[in-house]
Amino acid sequence: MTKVELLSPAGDFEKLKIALLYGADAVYFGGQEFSLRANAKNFSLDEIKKATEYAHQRNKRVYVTVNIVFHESDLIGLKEYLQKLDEIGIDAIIASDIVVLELAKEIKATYELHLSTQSSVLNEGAATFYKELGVKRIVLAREASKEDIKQIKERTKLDLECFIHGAMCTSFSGKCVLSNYTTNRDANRGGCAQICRWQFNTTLSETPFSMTSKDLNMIPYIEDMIDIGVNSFKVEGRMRGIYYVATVIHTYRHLIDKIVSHTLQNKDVNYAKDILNRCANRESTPQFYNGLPTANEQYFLGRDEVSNQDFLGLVKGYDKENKMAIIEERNIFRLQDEIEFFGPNLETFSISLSKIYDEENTPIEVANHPGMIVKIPVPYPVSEFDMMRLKVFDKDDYV
Amino acid sequence: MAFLSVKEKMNPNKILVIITNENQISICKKASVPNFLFPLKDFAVGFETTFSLNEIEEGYLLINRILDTKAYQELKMLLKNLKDQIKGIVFEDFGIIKLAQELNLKQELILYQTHFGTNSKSINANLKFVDSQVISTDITREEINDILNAAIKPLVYVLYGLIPVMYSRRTLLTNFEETFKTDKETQVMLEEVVSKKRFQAIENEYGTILYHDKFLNGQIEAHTAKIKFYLLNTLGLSSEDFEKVLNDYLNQEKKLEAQEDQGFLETKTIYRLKEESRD
Repeated sequence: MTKVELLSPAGDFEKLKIALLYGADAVYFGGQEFSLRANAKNFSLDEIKKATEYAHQRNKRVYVTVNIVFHESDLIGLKEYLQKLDEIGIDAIIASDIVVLELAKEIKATYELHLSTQSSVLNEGAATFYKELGVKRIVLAREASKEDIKQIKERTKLDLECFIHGAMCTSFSGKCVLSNYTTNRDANRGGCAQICRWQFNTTLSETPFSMTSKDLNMIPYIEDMIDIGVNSFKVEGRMRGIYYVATVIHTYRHLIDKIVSHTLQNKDVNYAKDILNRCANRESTPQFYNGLPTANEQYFLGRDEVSNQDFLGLVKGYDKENKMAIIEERNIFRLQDEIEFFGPNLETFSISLSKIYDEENTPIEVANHPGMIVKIPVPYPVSEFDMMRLKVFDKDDYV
Repeated sequence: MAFLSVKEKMNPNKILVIITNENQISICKKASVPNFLFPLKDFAVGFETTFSLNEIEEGYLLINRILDTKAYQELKMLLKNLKDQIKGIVFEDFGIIKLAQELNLKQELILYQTHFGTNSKSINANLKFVDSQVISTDITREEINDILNAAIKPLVYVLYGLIPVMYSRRTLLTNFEETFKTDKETQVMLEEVVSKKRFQAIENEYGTILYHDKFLNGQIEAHTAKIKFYLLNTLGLSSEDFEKVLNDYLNQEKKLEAQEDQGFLETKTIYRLKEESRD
């Protein structure tokens, strides 16, 4: 079985650390210039250097998005930026505009060239075109079916990266400027206002027209995708928080490892589906893999999502002697809550919350201030960066 | 070199018309406009009328679908016996460059990546593989001038018509109509609830295109050898309106009408939100 890569978004350095800790093999993020998600925090060159060193020390890889569609004035400084990225030693850039690929070749950059999903590659001809331009890996369009992936892999032998989880554009990525026309924000230079998630009046019906896509979730097909030669499994979400990154990466890490070790069971898949659906607050489906999406893959009449407060706290430390976990509160929790711990090196377990102490060791009944530090009795050791969430699903209930 | 500085009559040979009904061909011929671009059946999206190869006597093919593996193979079969009267292919998917090489096609290749083609270096890089490229409609007149000044081959300038704003592989109208049991329409005007901006949606089995509801009027006062074609999209125009638009351009009399705008020719889009406050 091909060795596969789990690729995580990293909107900032904290998310990058969490992603790598929770099992990502590689991370991708944007610099402060030339990257979509222009309103994410993004990384300065110094931060890219720090992130690259951090990842490489852990034998992980770092990809930098340089994926805007360039206007004439945006070209200023691009060549120098690409050179700086090379000096830093990143592993790849992700680009869609041919000018980036050309300039990277011109400066003889040593990093790999990955073609962004913005280029909408769905056939062997387009893939071959980019291969001949020096592209090492193609991030296929999210519209790729199993047959498309299989054919492109067989005929081009290129590294293929596929999105497996996260939000979907209604359009082919990059083939939409609704935002430009509605808000004057340039969608292809990071200003997408997600107009496709807004509502429209029509003469068809009094019900507002909606074209919002449900999220992507490829859990049922990961094994299949490994078999047909997908090299990298990409999670969307540079704007998402650490809990989302940790939960999604942790879940897929376990699934991939179980697939590779031939120990995956149906109950693992079903449990993973529930955990991920809950975490994203949105429904998710495989979308285009097995055919054209229908109305079932879209939202109408608004979304059924309800924001939850499942992420209760981040573990800051553990007092082994007294079996007390030190927790930084993220959402309200109180005595008798059923809580669950999960983490990179932790077998997920749950307990009933019997005591809560504040920083002065005073017993309290509720932790209700974001960021407050509390101590709670936990019978099993937990580690810094493990996470505490509300217990919603019991793994033992799955057969 | 500015391309908008000197007044002169437009050369009809430089107009390329997207044909959306056959009457338009005779209107073009009457005006001595010889270049027709036909949305190719099964390989074009965003048009209610498309044309099979048998129906096209002479002209260019518009292939604006993103081609999946199946479509790519089907197109390959179709293009194997392309007649000489087909002068060229205007296309979105880079796979067509490889198809043309493989089939040794003699036709001109014109790249029309709707939302790319926004800077001179990218366009010149593409021009190593194609004969021409359509300049994006997402940029300003000044940016277009920069591109034309630097171009290593003549380019295509979108002169008039409805502009594609979004391309989805999904059958968005069908999905909505099936959910709410409404009448089956393949062309629907959408009005965004808050901004009241309107978009014309046109769907076929290969996807849905949303067009801005105003016709782009890319008014020009002069011409340059750097422009290979002025592209005129007839979609949404009656025969009478089309004839008037065409003749107005040819006679350099085109004015900005109520149903038209200038797209982004005079309006710079915001790169990032922070620029909004800076500006």
